[in-house]
Amino acid sequence: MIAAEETLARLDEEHLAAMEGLRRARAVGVRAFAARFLAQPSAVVGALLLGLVAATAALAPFIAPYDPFSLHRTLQPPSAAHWLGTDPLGRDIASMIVWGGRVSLAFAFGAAALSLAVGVLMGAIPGYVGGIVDDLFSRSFDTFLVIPRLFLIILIVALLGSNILFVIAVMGFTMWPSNAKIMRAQVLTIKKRGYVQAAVAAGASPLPIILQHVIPNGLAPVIANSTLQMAYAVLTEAGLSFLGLGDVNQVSWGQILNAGQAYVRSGPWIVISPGLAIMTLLLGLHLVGDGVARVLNPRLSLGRE
Amino acid sequence: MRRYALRRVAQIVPVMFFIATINFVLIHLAPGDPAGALAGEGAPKEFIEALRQEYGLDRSLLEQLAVYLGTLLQGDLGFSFAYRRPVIEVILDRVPATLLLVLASQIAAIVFGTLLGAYSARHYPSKLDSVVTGVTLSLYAMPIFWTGLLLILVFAVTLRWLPASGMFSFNAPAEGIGRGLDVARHMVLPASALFLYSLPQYVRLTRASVIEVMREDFITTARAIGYSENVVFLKHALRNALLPAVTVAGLSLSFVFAGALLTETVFGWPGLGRLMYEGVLKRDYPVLMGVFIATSALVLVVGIVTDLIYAALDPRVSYE
Repeated sequence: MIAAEETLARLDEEHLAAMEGLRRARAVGVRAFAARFLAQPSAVVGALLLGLVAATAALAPFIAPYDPFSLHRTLQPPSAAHWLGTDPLGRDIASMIVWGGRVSLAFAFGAAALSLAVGVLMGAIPGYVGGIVDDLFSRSFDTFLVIPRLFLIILIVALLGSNILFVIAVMGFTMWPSNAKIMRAQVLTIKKRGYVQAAVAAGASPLPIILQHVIPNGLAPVIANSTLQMAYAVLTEAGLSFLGLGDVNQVSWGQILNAGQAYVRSGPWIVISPGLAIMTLLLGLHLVGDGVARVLNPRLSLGRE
Repeated sequence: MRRYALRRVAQIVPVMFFIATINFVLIHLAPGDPAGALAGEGAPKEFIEALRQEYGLDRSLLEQLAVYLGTLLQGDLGFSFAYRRPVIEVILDRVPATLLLVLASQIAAIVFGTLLGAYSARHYPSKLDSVVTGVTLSLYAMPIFWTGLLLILVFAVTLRWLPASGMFSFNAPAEGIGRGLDVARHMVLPASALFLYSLPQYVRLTRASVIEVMREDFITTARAIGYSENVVFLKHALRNALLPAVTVAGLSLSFVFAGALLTETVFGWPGLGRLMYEGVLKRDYPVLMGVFIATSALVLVVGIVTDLIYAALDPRVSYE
């Protein structure tokens, strides 16, 4: 890191001025981006759905009618006292849904952020260096991508434990190859551009070039991919909890479904609402993801423009 | 073509080696003794001691890895104490049920998905197209095990049309058409869940690529020549837009098997996924590792078969 700072200090003023220009261009880009994103009704709906889930989760202690772990009469259908009924253990489903949003969002953001960080570095550095290193890395991404990921995650969680932070880390570390692949493709074109060539000519060493120029300019499609990764993390968490591999110290939507699956006959209300909650979050993520993708590539026709 | 096929088959080796190594690392990371992880929960002491001898667990890590890979190469996936049978036998029993479910649902999803996507694109932009897009997006956002539970709630519990779980009835005929019909009846709901789960990606992909292709110059040319709109659409646009759907079918296999795992769990369908779930419940680690290896191999093999079909269909694919 110290070496990187020294190299940066060696960059001449002309180059710093060029970087400033680039930064300004990027700031304008963000504003234009927001305007084009908000011009799509479906993207706005998506953002509102995400906002709804986020606000519910953030305000959980004030919104939830009961402590999600407290026990009431079992298998109560929806009523004034229990809006969404109670589960086979007597827990209030509405309270569990409100608190469960936190787990889903922790998975969405935690796993996707980890995957973003690892994927960007694993794609950018070998892609920039090129040669055998690049060859080896891109082969390993392809290997990683064919592995049936859910089976691997189940195996890891069954053997090593289901603590929520651990499972988020496992997901982050198994999801990154698609980010790395996208980043690498970006790097291959970016490293030929004028501003990178200029930095090389100015004597900058590879690491600062990668961090300052290559990664920021290639990031957009990787971020668009991240909404898909967030959706995947939410679905996988729900799936693990549904299979009984959730963290027992947390309340999650998948766990409600797990508790309710044997009671589809006697308590159908148990499985309805958690599924709707998962759907709301996923729909929000997909609509926002499509909106971002459409701004980045106006030729895309994923939905109604 | 033969060289291409051989090269694709050769690619299995490094991937399977990697997967076996992941298993080996996990066995050693597991809390407690590696022999315990190799045995699964509830195995008696003598059994664990025998495993320790068999896998050379008192030797160096590298030697242990060599022994482990050697055992796998002989097709020995270990012994499941819960089933009191070799893991490979338990797994081979379950493969046909999974393949049946996956093939039936995927063929239906590819056919209906591309048709619906193309139909929607043909009417783009219109109200009909928006409805298709909205329905597809909603299906995309439904967790497959929830779709499964809803199907059970509606068609098995409320309407009582179809069985909610299993693959056979107790009183079903043992063979012949009667048995086939009985399996088909049990398969309708799980296959529908897997179909609804895979459908959106084909609709979205075909719709997007048909809309894209319709903007190409050769379409304008075909129109200018005076071909009717239907001929332009069927002969030029749809044909060119179908290829990405086939590519995605090959790429999304591990996603399909993940869906099959959850579907089989919901419907008690006796396939590999249900076996994985039973392995989780019983802490039967050898079965969990065996299913992971077997599913990886299946994904690879089915992927290669898809690629070869694709290469045979599209003359532009080079075999080099």
